[in-house]
Amino acid sequence: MFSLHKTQGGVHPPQCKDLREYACTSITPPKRVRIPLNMHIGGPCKPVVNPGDHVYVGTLIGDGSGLYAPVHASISGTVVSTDTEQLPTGATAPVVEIESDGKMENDPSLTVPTYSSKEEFIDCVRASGAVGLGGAAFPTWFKMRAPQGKKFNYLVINGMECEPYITSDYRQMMEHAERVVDGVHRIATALEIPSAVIGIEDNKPEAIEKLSAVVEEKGFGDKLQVLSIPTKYPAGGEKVLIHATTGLDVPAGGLPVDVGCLVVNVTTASRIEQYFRYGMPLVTKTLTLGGDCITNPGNYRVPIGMSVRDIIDAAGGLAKEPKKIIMGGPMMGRTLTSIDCPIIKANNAILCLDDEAILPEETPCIRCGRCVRVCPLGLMPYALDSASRSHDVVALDELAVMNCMECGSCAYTCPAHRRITASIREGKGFYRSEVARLTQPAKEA
Amino acid sequence: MNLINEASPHFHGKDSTQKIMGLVCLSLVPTVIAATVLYGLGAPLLVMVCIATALVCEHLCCIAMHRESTAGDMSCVVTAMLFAFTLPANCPFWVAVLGTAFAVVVVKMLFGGIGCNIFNPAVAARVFVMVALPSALSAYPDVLGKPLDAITGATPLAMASAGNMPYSYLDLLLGNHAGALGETCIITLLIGYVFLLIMRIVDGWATLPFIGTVAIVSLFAGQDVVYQLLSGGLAMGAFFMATDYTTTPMTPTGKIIFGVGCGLITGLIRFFASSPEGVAFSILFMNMFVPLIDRITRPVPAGGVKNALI
Ligand code: SF4
Ligand code: SF4
Repeated sequence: MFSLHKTQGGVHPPQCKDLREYACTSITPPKRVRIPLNMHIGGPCKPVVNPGDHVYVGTLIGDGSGLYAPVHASISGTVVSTDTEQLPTGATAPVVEIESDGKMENDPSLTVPTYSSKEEFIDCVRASGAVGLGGAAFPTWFKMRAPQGKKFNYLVINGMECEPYITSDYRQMMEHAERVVDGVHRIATALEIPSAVIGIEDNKPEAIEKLSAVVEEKGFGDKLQVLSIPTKYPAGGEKVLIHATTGLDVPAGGLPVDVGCLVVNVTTASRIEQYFRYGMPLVTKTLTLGGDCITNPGNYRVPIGMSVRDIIDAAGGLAKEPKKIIMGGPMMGRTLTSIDCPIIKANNAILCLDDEAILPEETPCIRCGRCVRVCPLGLMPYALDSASRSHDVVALDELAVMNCMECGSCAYTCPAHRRITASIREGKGFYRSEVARLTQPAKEA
Repeated sequence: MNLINEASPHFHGKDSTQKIMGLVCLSLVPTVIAATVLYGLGAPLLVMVCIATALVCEHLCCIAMHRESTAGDMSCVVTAMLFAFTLPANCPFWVAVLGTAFAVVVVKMLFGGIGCNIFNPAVAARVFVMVALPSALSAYPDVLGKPLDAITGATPLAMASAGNMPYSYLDLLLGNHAGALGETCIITLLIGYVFLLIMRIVDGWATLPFIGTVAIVSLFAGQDVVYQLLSGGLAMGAFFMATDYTTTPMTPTGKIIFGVGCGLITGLIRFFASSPEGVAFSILFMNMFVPLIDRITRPVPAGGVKNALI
């Protein structure tokens, strides 16, 4: 069914996946959690609980409308506040703070969901609170609704985990292989998608073997395929993975559905299956706690909303003071300025790095062309870099700045250590506002 | 806790401009050794003079331009070595100093420094010296140990255009004849180029079409193809000038266009103009078209472009 298609560009950063054999362990639940209600792409949820209310694990605490994913309590206890706050990302959103009663009781009203149609299935996925757990945080239910006139031909499951350090998806596949495969099968069946593929980088042969065996065992082979894909960053980028598995290119400004693809992260699929089996929505998150500065690095299951500080402490603390803490992987993750921020749904790693995170000084571009060679989307990063810095909106337009997925390959490979990706990110913001301004009908006229 | 706050990616590769330029310098060392053997100690001395001049000039320019000095990135050393290679080993020092200063100050720094120059500094300086001080470069010394009166000063190309080909292919390969100190020994130039290929610093997208086109033009002009390929500045131009990052196109297609263009012009000048050597002019000429070539050979991004403005 699916065969491997060659993808362009890409880089080979050090993999640093030493934590792959560390089984995922649960962490002592914290005394309090602070759950922001904007853990997804789209508008923030509104709190549906009030200070003083008692909540259980799995109780709905935030709901919304439009593009959103509901939010659930991750510990049992009492709601302390639901105030709107400024978050470390800069955005403001309501934050539900819950003080633990120490019992971790599940909400007794939770039931195993049932569905009898595609629409009901999608409603259930919405109720599960699932978002893209690979880091994108896009509400999963939303992308399962194919727009009018379009349909899904392929379900592409992203088990690539191409970022260095992170091993949480790998642990998910190793420890819950059966649940992953069932989840994929369930999504494909419920949404009437004829064929599904699980793409896994070939640096995880055990996971490939394990999932293939489960697929075989369950007799899903006619519909579901496990595909080994050469290890190369960013092979797990959505567009890159679609190309590698189907040979199709998502059109500029378009969505995977435009080429008939639904892409779901492997852990997301697994957590959706968990919801359909037990009725427990997304309230915990598995993440890789890594980097030189951590005393006991490993893969940990933590309640959503637990602060980074509590997690580090519960895992045994810091061995030395980190110079940089990254939420996510080193290629696309965001640095933290304070460790008091909460873990959200899409976080899959906390890296506490020492000197290896100190980047060399930026020097002038020598036009070596390496950035062009490694860009997985065929862009001209050096030109985008200079157009972004000089605020040349016409050049940004010509060079397709909005195609860039900010994978960081160009900046990684640049011998002049230019912060290409960072400047393109700014260029995108500038471009967006300029286009809005230029295409708006003149008001004064 | 004092945490660094910056944008991703948080990993960078280990290469740097300095490292790349250092490797290019290293690749030129065998040729310096060959030049010493062929033309005596004057050759390495001249190279040293050029390097020192380039470093001083670049540093002073940076001070004058109020920017951090880029002399340490070694790129001006590459320029200096390549320029020195185009000089006769007995060239007066002041000519070498003047040429290098022209390369660094006028051709490179006035255009904005590393990465911004349009013309290859070494080639431009070579042409500048040839035009401004023709008398300083009129005679090329022959290799050591040959009686001076033999065929003094005439390079194989000059003789070939006079219909006279006294050298064997082996002589040409080894550089066993009169010529610019770093251009004659094809073997060591090739070793340097292959080294850079292996280190993945350069590629053959411009080099091979350059050489190939010269071969084809020579064939049509009824010349001895091998003789043409082994003489003059072709090897150095195709190996080291047509692979310069800043002054050649970015994409493989662009590089092929550049190489073919250089080859055509070199051939035309060699066989149909009065000058026996055309490599330098051809490279300078094609340098001018690099922005244009880059524009027309821009790859189409995966998924196409969705323009909002045009
Ligand atoms: S990799 Fe860096 S130095 Fe090379 S062309 Fe791109 S931006 Fe310029
Ligand atoms: S960050 Fe953007 S421009 Fe750079 S390699 Fe990735 S997609 Fe290409």
